[in-house]
Amino acid sequence: MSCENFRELISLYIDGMLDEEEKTNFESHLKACIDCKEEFEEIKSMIDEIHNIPEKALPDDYHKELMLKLYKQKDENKFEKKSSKFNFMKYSTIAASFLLLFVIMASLSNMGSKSSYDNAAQKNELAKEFSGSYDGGEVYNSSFDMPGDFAADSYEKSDAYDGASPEESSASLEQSINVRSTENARSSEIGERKIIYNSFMTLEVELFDDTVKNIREMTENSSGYVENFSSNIYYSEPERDIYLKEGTIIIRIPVEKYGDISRKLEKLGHLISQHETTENVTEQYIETEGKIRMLEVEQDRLLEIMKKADKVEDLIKLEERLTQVRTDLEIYKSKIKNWDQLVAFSTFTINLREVKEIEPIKAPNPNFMTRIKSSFNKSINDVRETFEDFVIALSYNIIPFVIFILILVVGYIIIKPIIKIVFKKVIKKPIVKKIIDIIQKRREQI
Amino acid sequence: MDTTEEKILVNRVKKGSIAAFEELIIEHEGKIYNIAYRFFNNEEDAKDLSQEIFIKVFNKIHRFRGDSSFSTWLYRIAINTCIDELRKRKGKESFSIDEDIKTDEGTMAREFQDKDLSPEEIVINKEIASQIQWALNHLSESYKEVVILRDFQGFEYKQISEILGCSLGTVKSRISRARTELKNLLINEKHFDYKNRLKTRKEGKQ
Repeated sequence: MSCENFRELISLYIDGMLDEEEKTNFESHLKACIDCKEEFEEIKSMIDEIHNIPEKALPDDYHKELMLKLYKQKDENKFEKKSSKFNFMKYSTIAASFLLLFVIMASLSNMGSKSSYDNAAQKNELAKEFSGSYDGGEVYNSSFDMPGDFAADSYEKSDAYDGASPEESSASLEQSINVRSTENARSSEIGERKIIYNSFMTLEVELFDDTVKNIREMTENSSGYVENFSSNIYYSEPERDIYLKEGTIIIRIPVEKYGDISRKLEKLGHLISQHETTENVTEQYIETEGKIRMLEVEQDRLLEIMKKADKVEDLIKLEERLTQVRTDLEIYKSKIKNWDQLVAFSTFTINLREVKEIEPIKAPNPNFMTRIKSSFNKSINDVRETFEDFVIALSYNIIPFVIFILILVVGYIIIKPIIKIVFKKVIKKPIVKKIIDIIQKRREQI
Repeated sequence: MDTTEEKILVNRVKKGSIAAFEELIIEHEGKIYNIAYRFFNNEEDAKDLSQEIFIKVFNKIHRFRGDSSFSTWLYRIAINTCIDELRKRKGKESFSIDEDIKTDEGTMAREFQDKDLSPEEIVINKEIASQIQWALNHLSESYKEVVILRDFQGFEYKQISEILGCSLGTVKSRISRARTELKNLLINEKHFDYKNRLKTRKEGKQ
């Protein structure tokens, strides 16, 4: 092994990166060559000395300061994202195309449901008109038609409520869904999970006032409270003393009793619809707590600096910053308080609707003429209704239909020349040949 | 930290979770700080720059595709940021050995007290440390980064090749040359008298 070679390997030898053969060669040269040995010793002792230099310890507030900077950065990033022109352009085009698609889809899918809804409403009106002379069965049926629509309606409302609930919730909901799986695995590290429970249900009951009383008692017994209650009479028949009520009651129940109360409520009447949502705010909760800690550190530091500051100018600046920090602290603390409240008490929104079996009443002495008259009226109304439905359906259909036609026309214009070319290539040759053959044969015959 | 856990954390960071980011970086804070310290030999700069590195990493996290481990990626950004900063400063500042000693005095003495060394040894050690730092400051960029990663931070050859994005062979030869260069700087600088001290130390050991 040459000295030059040896010196290249010193470093690797020290780090134990040589294989056995190289190692024995290296060691034999090390014993033989004094100069190389000196070089080796120098490098070896230098590395040892470097290893003896202690690591620098992190400054005391390093971590807290870094986290504070990160929180600030995150806020700035949010702002930048919102005001960024590039993003706006990009997303607006995507949004516009989706909107167009959505409008087409909506107009197509709405057509059926909307017209059927119109039907139901009309039937209801008709039924009311005729309720005097007609048998009550129809009235009963029509009053039962409604809950279906009502349930759908309440679903929509509950969705809207979700969207409008605390700020950031659209993002947080999405986040909470995606994060939940990871959260499960790591719940022990994060500590207590912060989940907000919401439940919506629609019940049909026979005795409205008794049920409301029942729910109130239940709420009090489980140390919850009624947040909101409203009711109204939606159907009345004064002559038979029938007044049917509907209403909404919102109660807040301690989260431990969520399941218990949920089960009890379901038994109160006929359950038409039920809808439960949970919102996981653990992530935001921890983050907000972190921000509070950081701000408190900053506040302490500002106070310390203020003690030392003598210039009025500096004091004013410090005071300004301190006010800002304190305001932020208050905001975050109230956020935490609000979450604590929401997490501790789950919310039940219960829609109640009173229904009654209506005894059919026979029309007194049914006159033949009046019956003919009413059925004639009914048939006129039915015809009108059908015609109206047709016109409505037509008006709904017209835009998608035009678009459909346009697409067909454009498609045809594009495809037509292609088809022509293909046809020419594939078909022309044999046909021409055949025609020529036929012509030749005829000539021969002639 | 195993890779699946790391992936989960990275995904949470991409969605904006700072708590997850905290968990990802907490074990690297000390090392990044020390790397920055070796590059700039100044506590204030080390703090500012290392924090800047973490913020950079946080902002760029959506570009992290998981081709390498998160820590490799983190150290790559750290090294690149340090070198960029070094280039920016080149020409604006010159390093002076006297200044280094002044700025280091207080903290150095404190740190050595823990190790139960005699006062003379403290003085000698302090000298050695600042001399090595002086020599390190005079190494070229590519040598400096490998010496810091290998000898100061104790990274393996393979890790270094991943961080710097070059082959294992390149890393081997670079470390070898960097060390020789560092040693030559120490020996050839006249007012250090490094060579004699090496000898006396060696004799002392024997």
